[in-house]
Amino acid sequence: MTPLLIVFLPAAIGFLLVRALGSGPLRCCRHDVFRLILGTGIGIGLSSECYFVGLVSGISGLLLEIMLLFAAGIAVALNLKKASCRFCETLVTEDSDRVLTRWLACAFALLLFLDFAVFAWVSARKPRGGWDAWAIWNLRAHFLYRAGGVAWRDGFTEVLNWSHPDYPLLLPAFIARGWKLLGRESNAVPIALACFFACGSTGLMAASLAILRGARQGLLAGLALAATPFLYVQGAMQCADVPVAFFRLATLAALALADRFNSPGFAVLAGAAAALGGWTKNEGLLWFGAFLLARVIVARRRLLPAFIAGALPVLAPTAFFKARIAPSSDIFDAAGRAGMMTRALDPARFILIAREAFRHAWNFGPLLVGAFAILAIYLMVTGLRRENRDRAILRTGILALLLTAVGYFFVYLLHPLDLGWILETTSDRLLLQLWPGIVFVVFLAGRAPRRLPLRCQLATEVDTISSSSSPGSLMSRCR
Amino acid sequence: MADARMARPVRRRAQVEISPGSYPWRARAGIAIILLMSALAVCTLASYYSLPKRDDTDPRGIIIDEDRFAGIRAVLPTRGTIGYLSDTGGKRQNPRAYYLTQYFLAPVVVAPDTAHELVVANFASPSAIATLAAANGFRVERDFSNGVALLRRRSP
Repeated sequence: MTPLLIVFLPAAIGFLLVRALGSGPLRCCRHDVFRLILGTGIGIGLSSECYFVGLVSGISGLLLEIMLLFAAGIAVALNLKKASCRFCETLVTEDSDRVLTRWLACAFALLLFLDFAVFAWVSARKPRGGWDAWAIWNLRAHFLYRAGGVAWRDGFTEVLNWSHPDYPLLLPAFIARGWKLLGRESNAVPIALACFFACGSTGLMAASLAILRGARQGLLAGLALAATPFLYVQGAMQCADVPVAFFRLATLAALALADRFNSPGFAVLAGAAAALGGWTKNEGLLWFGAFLLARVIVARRRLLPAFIAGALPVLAPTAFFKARIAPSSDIFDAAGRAGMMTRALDPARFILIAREAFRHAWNFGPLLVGAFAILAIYLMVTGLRRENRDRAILRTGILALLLTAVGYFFVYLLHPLDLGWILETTSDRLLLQLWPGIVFVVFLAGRAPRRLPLRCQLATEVDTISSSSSPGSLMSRCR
Repeated sequence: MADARMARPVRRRAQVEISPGSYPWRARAGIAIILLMSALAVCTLASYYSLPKRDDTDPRGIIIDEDRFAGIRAVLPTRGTIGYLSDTGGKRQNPRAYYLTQYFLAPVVVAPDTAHELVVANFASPSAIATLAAANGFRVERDFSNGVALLRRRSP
């Protein structure tokens, strides 16, 4: 019962919220896969915030979750009369090549299975995850779970500055919540959480692009992301970069749907997803700022109030944590500020960052050829689609990704630690944070595989044909 | 009349065969690129199976195992800050051993120095604990016989 509660409650909260705010039919439809993945990600974030609010306020976090579940359930019930799936009503037109679709689906399922197998293999060998997992996220979860009363705040003392006590708490709070419900500490909780974010990113990619661009384009995009072994290995290492990547992808996918279907509800969900990235890691806050700025530049105020309305309630616990609990970041504390100007004006640092960024991007994957290079070649070969209803989200996404990359550049430039070491240990993971967003943008902008128009072959038995049924007109009918 | 009949088209059996259109080369190449990428990923995924089994041994000889710390966790106060002492180096020299000690002993905060009433000793050679503790002005409060001990500052 308890393991079910750990998993079921966040999934139910998120799924119902997506159905209430986005669209959803009376019964199940195939687009519920998308709603379930997006909803579970958002639900995990909200459950984590409930646990944190519970710790701060003394109210039971579980009670807050149940209240949230009821609120979402009531919202769905109120919408029952006009329940319908807008995705089903406006399906993307696609020629019915079931053979190719099936082959791609088989390849996608096989690759996802292999990814999962590697995830399980690495997890069995490193059940505590990688260095960051036990030195930062699970360490903080120990403090939240083991300490009673107000003692959990001891985990944010400056004595532990090496463990980044300024990092937000989505992962630690959700893991501690899981242990609390389970009644004991278990590596299964962080492993299951990491598994959801790694596999969920690929599922969200395929499901969202299937709605926006058709099943085949969705499967190709899903394959491209599933063909990134680094995502699954880092997932098994339980690092927070995979959830950050998930929430970035969720932001892009939800806002793309909001734009396409003119749905403020999906803009609310996009805002919530962007803000949950900020509750996961500091880089998520950078993404939130970059995305908001990009959106204002590209689309002015279109769906902006809804986006902010979704983000604000989620940002509130993050703001409280940053203002009242977390010590200052190692970049901006007294030691970090010393010599900042010298570092900012050192041309050698500019060159080193640019060189290392290029090297890591080239080797990213790790495949024989860099994944970025493969994606660039793919886009050059298939070309951009001419008709483009998704221009606003494409421009927003590209600008937000660029602004985030610029933000990373300046963080590296100002960082007080040894630059060579920090570039070596973090560049790949920062690229991983951007990668699903880049794949999404490429497959949203690129041409989907479509057959050439049908050819009609007139059989030789036709002796005479009426003037109204000339081959030309027959061809047009066939088309 | 006859001309009109002649002009009227004579429709016999007309059979129209519709063959499915083919994919343009761009689409075929695009699909091939993604499938090639997937094939490369399968090779990379296979290489991860050579990953060594879980590494619980610190390069400097300390076995990093949560069970080693079960004894000391039971006798430590539920809250507070304690110091850290090791024969394999402190936080700077051997960060992994120090970080994992903190990981196992949370919510007690383990400071990377010995300026505290209580200190956790995390040693590769258990026989060296008493000597090093005495040299730093501590006595062994509890020795758990596995390289881990609780030290208390000697009263002046």
